[in-house]
Amino acid sequence: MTSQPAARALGLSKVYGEGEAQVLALDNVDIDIERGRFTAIMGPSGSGKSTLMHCLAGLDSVTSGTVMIGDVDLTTLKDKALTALRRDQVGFVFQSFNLIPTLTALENITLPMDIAGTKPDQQWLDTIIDTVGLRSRLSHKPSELSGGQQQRVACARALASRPAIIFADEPTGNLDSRSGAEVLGFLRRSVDEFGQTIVMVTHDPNAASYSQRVVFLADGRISDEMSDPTPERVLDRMKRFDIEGLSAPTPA
Amino acid sequence: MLKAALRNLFAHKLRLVLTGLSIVLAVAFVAGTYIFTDSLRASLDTLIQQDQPDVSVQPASADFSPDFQGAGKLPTVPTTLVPEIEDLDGVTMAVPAIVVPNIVVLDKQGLPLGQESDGFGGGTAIGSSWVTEPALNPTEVVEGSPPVGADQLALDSASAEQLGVVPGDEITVLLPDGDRTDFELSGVTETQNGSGFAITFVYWDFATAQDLFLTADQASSISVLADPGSVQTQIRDAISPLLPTGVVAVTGEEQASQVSEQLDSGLGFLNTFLLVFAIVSLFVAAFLIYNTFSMLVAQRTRELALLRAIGASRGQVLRSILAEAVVLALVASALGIAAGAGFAKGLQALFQAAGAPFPASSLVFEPRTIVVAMLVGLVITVVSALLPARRASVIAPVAAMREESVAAGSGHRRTAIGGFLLGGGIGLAVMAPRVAANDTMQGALVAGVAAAGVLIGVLALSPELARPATVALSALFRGVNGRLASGNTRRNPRRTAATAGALTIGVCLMSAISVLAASTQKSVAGIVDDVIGADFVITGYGFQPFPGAVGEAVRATEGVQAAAVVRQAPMRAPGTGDTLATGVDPTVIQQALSLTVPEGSFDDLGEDDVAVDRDTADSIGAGVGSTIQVLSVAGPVDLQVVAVYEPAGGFTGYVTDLPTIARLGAADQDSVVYVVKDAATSAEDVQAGLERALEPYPNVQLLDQSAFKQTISDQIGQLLNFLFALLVLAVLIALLGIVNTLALSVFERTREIGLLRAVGMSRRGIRRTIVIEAFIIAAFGAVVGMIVGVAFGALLQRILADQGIEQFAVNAGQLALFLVLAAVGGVLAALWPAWRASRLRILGAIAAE
Repeated sequence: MTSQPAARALGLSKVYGEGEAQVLALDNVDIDIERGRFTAIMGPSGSGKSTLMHCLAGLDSVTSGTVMIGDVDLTTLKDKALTALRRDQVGFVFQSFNLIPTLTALENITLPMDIAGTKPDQQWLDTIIDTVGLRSRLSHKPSELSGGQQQRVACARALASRPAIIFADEPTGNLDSRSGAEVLGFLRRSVDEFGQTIVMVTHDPNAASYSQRVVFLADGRISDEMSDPTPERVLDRMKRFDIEGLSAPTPA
Repeated sequence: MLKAALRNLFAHKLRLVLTGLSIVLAVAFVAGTYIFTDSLRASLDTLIQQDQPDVSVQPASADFSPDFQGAGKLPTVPTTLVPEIEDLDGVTMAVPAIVVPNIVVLDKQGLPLGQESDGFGGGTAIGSSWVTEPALNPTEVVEGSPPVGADQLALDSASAEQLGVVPGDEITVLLPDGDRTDFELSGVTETQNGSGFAITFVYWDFATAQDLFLTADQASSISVLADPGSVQTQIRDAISPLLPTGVVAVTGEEQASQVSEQLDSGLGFLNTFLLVFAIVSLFVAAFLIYNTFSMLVAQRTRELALLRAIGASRGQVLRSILAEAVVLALVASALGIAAGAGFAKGLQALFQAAGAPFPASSLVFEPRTIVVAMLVGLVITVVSALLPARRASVIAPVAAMREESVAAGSGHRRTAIGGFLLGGGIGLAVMAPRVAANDTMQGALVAGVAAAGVLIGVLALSPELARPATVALSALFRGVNGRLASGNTRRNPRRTAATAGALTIGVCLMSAISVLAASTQKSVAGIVDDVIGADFVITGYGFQPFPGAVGEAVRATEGVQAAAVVRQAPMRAPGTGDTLATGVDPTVIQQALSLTVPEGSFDDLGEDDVAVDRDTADSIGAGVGSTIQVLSVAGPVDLQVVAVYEPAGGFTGYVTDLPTIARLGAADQDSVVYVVKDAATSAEDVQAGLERALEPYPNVQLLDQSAFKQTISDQIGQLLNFLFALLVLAVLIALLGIVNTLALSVFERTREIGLLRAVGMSRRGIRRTIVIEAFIIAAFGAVVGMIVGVAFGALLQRILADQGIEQFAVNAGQLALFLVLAAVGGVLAALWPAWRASRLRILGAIAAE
């Protein structure tokens, strides 16, 4: 693990709306995402966890503060450079609608490289495809795949271009528990075996337990952190949010 | 529910504008056609009314179709009638008048004024006597004074302006007998109530006009002004007993209604002709409207299901969509009528550019126009909305809310019907030429039904065609953008087919017309090669007759072996109705033209004999030896048939020798001179000699064979461009359909586009993908349209083979241009939806539910 984090936010604030309707989604957040680690971001609805991920991934603009991926400050980039950075440095797995319906599974996996006009590393591609266990379904269209298979294709796509960091937004939110476990297991293996950096937003303590570090968010601020989580410990911590309501005290 | 429908309508302004626009364009074409012909009608009516004296005494032949009155000797009435008529009770005054067509006013370069406007009678003016009594003269002098004496004339203000002359200037006029005379411009005239035709009018005083064109005691007509309060018919009946045979008296009302009838049939044809194009546009627009409503309903399936789930009945859902359609149709149709006014102005400009001498006039809105336009807009919109609405209302609420995609009904029935229509159409198309061999009209009818069957069949089958066609077209594009674009076109083949189908119709018609025109051009050139043995052809500009002196000048030119003049006179004959009889020198014409004469011989053509073309002879059951009675300007004449010949291009109908045509009323004017040079002189020398000989006659043109073919070819080309201009609107509506489909598709694919942006596709990449998609749709539509259109063109050529279009030809360059334009149009249509798609906010797109 090098000293430089894979991604970092400094004094990150995000305000939605104007005037009376103004909502402070992120309030001066500082966070480092360590390289080669599986980080989960948790929090109740409205805590700002999705906003934090979108800002870190360069999908949303920030109101103030800086966001770095590697040594690039995203807040200084124009759309074109940001697009290229997402294409080359970042992988995404969304909760649903991850795949282009007109492309086959394989075409979806290689999509970022096709967009960039680069050739995929065939050996690496084979490794990923075998790891997610999709070899027999490569020529199928998304509509011919199950929900779990679709998410595994999405994971394979995120990994295929060897991005510096992968962001996963509730990747198991739409799956039954068995399919969810398969996807999460696969994400964890990619960290353990390939040294991939992954940031996952979730509200499911069981999903969070696959990570190595959990960051808790409440009211747009980081309220707590946990290493090597288990489902029980995460659940305990989450219950305290419920008891404290939305006005959880923030540690100094 | 109505409130929900209206709110929904306004919630999606963009869809509203796009769908509305297609209705507006289609309705504008229909309304514009009516407004145009009504306005033309109204302005002509005003001219007719104001031009009529109470009673007019005129030659009986004046009721010949005005199309043919330009040829032939001027029919006259004796001026000795004037004092007799003025003696009658109730007559205020009787004024003799002279009207002469075919005057040529020369400009400062010595060229005929208005010659460059080509087309219909370009380059000639109408000469008349100046009527000094204002009550009988709708024209007034606005500058200078009326013409007086043998060396003065007056000119209409538009022509004076064009010539750049003012009263006092000198003007040169070429008279019908070929004399060139200078006159002083006394004054400039304008017609009361403004608008006149785009025709030059020249006025002399009566004595000068009589001296120039007629003999003493002759006039073209006598206009009678009645005392106030007297009855036109009584005056007419009082005048009639005074008149010699061949001269009649008609009241102003009779005259007006007679002219009016002639106008009605002409305008009726024009109206029908334009409405055919309007129907094409409507058909295309119906496609677009139907397509849009299908997509709107598909997008709103969940919303409609929610309405059903909370208790709306099927009927209510149906009525809600129909209410939307009705409101949209009414608003768009109203706008369409307004746009129709602009379209009518455009038509006026188009016709004027094509050389039609129509008066520009203010626009007339008949209640009928508004009713028809509104009904058309309403019916098309409601029917187009009804089918998707029915589909939407049968969706089970739960099914619709569960998943976003609702499977479209299977297309088996549509495919079967399409296959049946296509097969039947092709079968009829194969039969049509055989039917046409016996009866062209029946053949054309069969071909029309065949064409409709094939076109509708192809449109019905095109969802099946869309898949292989788009795969083939997408081979043009490599990379992920092309793959995504072609995938998108196959996602909903029915939608792709319907979008492309609108373009298919337009391109199909344009291709068919193009093929027919190319075939006509080639066939005409072939006929010229086969028939015209002459080395040169001399014609008047705008095909106006020219002085007989031209023929003499040509004959006197060195190196000319023979000059065959063609002289014409109007007449009414069995089998042809009002027509022009042709007079030739039977010996000389056979040197200039290769005529096939299966029965009898042109050599037998003598006094009161006639040769008849085979088609006319067959239609009236005449043959060599039969006698035919025709009505000439001079009265009925019996002609004996001595030859039956094969029609050769423009050389058809009744043919007599020169003395007979003069008896039938031809003036000393010719319409064509065919020139045969002798073998000893070079073509260049003869041409140079002819050019010198023709110098005094700037209103004729000397053409060698290839130039003659080019002239005919240019005229066909001009007509072609006019038809294309009318079809452009249908193509524009089709392109608008592509804009519409893409814009709605972009809206449907918001999340997909967001995903593509998230995983790294640039804005440019998104735009490129959508532009390629449009290109594929447009190219698919255009290629299918072209294939069907060329087949139609070939079929039409076969049907019309007997009518002289014997050869099939394709203007490949023009067809290629259509394809390129369609593809470019498709790409242009994509620009705006593509721009919108590229500006979608990524997060908004991903977060969209």
